[in-house]
Amino acid sequence: MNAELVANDPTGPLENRWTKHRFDMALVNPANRKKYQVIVVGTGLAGGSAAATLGEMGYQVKSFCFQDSPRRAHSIAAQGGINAAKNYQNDGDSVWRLFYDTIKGGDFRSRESNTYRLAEISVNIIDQAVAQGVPFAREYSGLLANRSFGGAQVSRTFYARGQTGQQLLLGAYQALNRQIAAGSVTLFPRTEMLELIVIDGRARGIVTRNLVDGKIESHTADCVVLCTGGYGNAYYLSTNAKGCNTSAAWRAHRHGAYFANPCFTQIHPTCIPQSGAYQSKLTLMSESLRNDGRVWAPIASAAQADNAADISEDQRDYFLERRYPAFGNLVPRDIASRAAKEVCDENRGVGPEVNGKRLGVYLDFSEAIDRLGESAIRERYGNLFEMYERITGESPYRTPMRIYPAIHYAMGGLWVDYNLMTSIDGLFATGECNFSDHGANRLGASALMQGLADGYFIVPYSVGNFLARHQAGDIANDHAAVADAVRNVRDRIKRLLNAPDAKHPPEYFHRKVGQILWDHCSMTRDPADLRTALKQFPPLRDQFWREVKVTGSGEAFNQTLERAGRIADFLELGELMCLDALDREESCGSHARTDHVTAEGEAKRDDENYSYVAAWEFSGDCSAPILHKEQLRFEFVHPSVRSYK
Amino acid sequence: MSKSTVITRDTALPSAWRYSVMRKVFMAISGMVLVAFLFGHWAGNTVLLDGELAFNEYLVWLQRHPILHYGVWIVIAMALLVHLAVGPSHWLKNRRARPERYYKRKYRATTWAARTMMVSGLTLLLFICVHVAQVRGWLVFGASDSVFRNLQTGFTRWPVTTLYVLGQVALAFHLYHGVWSLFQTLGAHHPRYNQWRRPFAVVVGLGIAFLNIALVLLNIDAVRAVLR
Amino acid sequence: MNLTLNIWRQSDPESPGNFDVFNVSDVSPDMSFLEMLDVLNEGLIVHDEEPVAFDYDCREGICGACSLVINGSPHGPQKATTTCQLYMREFSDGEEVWIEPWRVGAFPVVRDLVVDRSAYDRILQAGGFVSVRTGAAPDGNTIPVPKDVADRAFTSATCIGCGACAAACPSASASLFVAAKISHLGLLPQGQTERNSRVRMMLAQMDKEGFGHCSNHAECQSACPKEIDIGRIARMNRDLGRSFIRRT
Repeated sequence: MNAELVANDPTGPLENRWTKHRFDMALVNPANRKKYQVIVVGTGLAGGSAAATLGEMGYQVKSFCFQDSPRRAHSIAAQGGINAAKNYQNDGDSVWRLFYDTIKGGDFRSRESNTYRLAEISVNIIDQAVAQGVPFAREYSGLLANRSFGGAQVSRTFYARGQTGQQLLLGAYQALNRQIAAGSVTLFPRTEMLELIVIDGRARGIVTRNLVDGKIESHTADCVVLCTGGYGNAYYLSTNAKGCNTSAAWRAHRHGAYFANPCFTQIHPTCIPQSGAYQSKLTLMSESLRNDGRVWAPIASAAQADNAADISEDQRDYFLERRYPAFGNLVPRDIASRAAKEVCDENRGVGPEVNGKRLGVYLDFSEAIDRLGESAIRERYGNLFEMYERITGESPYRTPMRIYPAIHYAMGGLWVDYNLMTSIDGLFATGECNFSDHGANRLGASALMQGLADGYFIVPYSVGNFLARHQAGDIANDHAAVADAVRNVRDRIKRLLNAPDAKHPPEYFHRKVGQILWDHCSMTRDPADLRTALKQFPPLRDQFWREVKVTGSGEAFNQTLERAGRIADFLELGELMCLDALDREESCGSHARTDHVTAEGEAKRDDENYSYVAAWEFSGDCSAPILHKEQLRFEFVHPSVRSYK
Repeated sequence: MSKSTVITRDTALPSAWRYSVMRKVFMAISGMVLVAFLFGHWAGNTVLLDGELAFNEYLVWLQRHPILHYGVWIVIAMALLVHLAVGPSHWLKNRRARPERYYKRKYRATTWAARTMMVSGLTLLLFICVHVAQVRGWLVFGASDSVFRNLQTGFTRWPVTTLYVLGQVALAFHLYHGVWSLFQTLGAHHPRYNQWRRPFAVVVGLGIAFLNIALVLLNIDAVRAVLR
Repeated sequence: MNLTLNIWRQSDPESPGNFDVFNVSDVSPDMSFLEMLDVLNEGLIVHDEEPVAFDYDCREGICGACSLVINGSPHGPQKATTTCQLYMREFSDGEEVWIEPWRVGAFPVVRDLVVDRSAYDRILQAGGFVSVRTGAAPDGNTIPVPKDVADRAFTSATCIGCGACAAACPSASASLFVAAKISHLGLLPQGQTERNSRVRMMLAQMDKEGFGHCSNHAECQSACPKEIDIGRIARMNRDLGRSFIRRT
């Protein structure tokens, strides 16, 4: 057991901590800022806003994204909205309430100081976005509209139809563009970070591959900020974009950055099920559908029929309504997801058979259509129904929708302290890429909030605080550490291109690791299953390096090579996820252990022994990482038990 | 500091020519001028039907009003120049903007008229040259001092009449797109009135072509004889 | 079902390209168009052939990365649909499919079906923003925006920057893309201060990038997966004219 991790958060009254901390931070004189170079990797909500703000402050910023434009970062796909404790609706909301809801929603596995700061900053984000011209929904008065989201008792969610992520990202992208035009930010699109440069324990740069011509380049700086998103794609099928990957974070982890709570991954219950083995990703449907749709599956597996209409009413099991009479179809995401999985595991799933299993349950609107009329339903969900029909070819007005849960978000990520600095000096992590704020489960409309809070309002300060304590200085390109990092990248690419017994495309391995994780480390986690899974990773990695087939060369545009590199990292992360899931002997939030349930079959948290952040250090052996614990102390809230019966 | 604030002071109109959109606006305005002229031109030409005497009187009347006469000349010459300065250069630029053509191409909205503006425009230019030459008596057939007779002799030859009719067909196509297009270019877009833009272009385009063709035909003795 | 694919191959911007013909079989109607290409590519890798390069990312129609001209239409035959949201049930067994990259001079081909759309980024960098410092914003509700104005601004702001408008335009013009941003910011009170300079700077950059000039063909709005209409272009033209008349 190692020394306990320190979060460096301030003490004293919760509501004064951020103000106090900001005062305590060192500042860089405006005239000196241009001497410092900051690397920001990723251009989503966190990265775009961080790069723009740091550039505006006067630092020399280099911004990197693997996509062809910063605007394509996957933040763009967030639908629902963004929370802020504005209390514009006068329904009793406050910073304190948003803080409490977030920490409770996270099942008491996040840091009080961070979560409170997030709630506090939430109001500034809205102001900033409005001033940038983000077209939020408005009331007839011309004032900002809100809705209640994800079961919250107050209406604190700001939204721009179903495209809030897109609009907020475009706001950050515009701010970034302004700095690019002003010359304070240099943009490197289609450039992927493949290695971190660490000199004397401090992050001093990155090695990148230009995805167009394959050039390997090193970029040095005074500090590095990773805003590279979550690792949900480890599961192969997820609602993430195809390009989403963990490589930047994993490279950092291999250099000593601790990876925290990797097993905390969120499942979204209402996704469109897989239609075949060729499926490349899953599409999320808004959770709001459960307001009017009834979830059911056939009672007996024998009743499996291709047509829902063939199953008579008495043969239908409205399992959410049956098991959770108080909340019915509106139970939280993790509970709804788990229930659907159990039904399918009992062979009662519906829809096409994929790999011998029918994975899907019905979400039926027929009753709502009878009650409210088709036009009322069209009014509410018209665009969603259209999207569903486009993808499946079935009309939800006539046949029930089929839904199945899918991986959606990663609460886990690089461990960071209160300053969002990882355990490597000068390496910061923001947004979904870090572990902070959401605990074991993220509330709806909180991801956008966290990404922007980190990027606009937190990391620019803490980067300044860090730089103020360090002299600005260039690293020579021929520095041994830089040369080493470049060589590592080249060697790895060479290995990927020249597997001794190359026969399978990289996706073959991605599907395999995804299947292991989905079967053993997703909605429910069984210790025996996890042990089985753990045995599969080392041989799978061996097989990968022996048999992966990457065509083409490293010196040209080569998407197969890009994917292979990312998958290699998922093969290592996957094992850590299972190790973490096995280590955490409790059920909390998204982490549902089959052996830690109450007598009624509900999740059983263990505050006494597991009220900590599990931060894993890379030991050189993927199968034997070192666990560090950051003890969570609750001074202001008292962990309570969630019940939705 | 963003650099955009500096540019606000650049309000001088001559700089407008640098913007392709403004050049297009000037082209639209010149197009409107030319269309207006066409109507006036046709109205004046109806005098042709009253015979040589009446027509000569009309010409004399025009010459007695040099401001009107030359004013119109200058305005349409300028409008034509603007049209010629923008149209072909934009057309060339547009072709260069897609160095490699599509091998398969499916259009969903554009019209044949819109895609052949250059063809119809050049046809019109040719027509205008022939027309002026004919009126002025520069062409071999029936060179005389009388504009009226120059026209009449011209129309006895089928190639001239055909060119006139062709010119008018080109005009109809040119205006079918041009008139509709100028609303867009000048920013006249309103959900309530948009539905009238195309009918208006059709009426103007077909209208002016029909009126002109009618006038040409009515000036051919044979046609008049039949009508009588 | 079985299909014959004619796919544009081009190894780099300078080399000439050509069509390769692929026969794909057992295509499921429930596959997306890109999944069909994924399957093709996996097969090519196994057979030691170079897979077809094409851009993609979110695969849910919002990131704007995918960019194929399918049978002569950017994003394929279905209305208001990005390529990634196009499903094979829109095609019929035995059909011959032509797949080309966006053909716009200002979007040079990177490889096969991948093009470089950074020209769009540069146009937005020229002025497609509101100059507000982080932290300098007043309370959100101090800037009321009438609902209909906010809705119209939103409609313009839904542009995903995919480039289909320029790809569809017979003149390869970027007008719809530029106009969408100008409308989005020009409609809102927040965008008024820089309204003149924005339209000027963005249009100057558009001309500089080598796009063609709008000839009002309206192909762009038919190809736009977000159904942004050419009324935005009319508005942009008006705004540019206005910038020569009014100071702010």
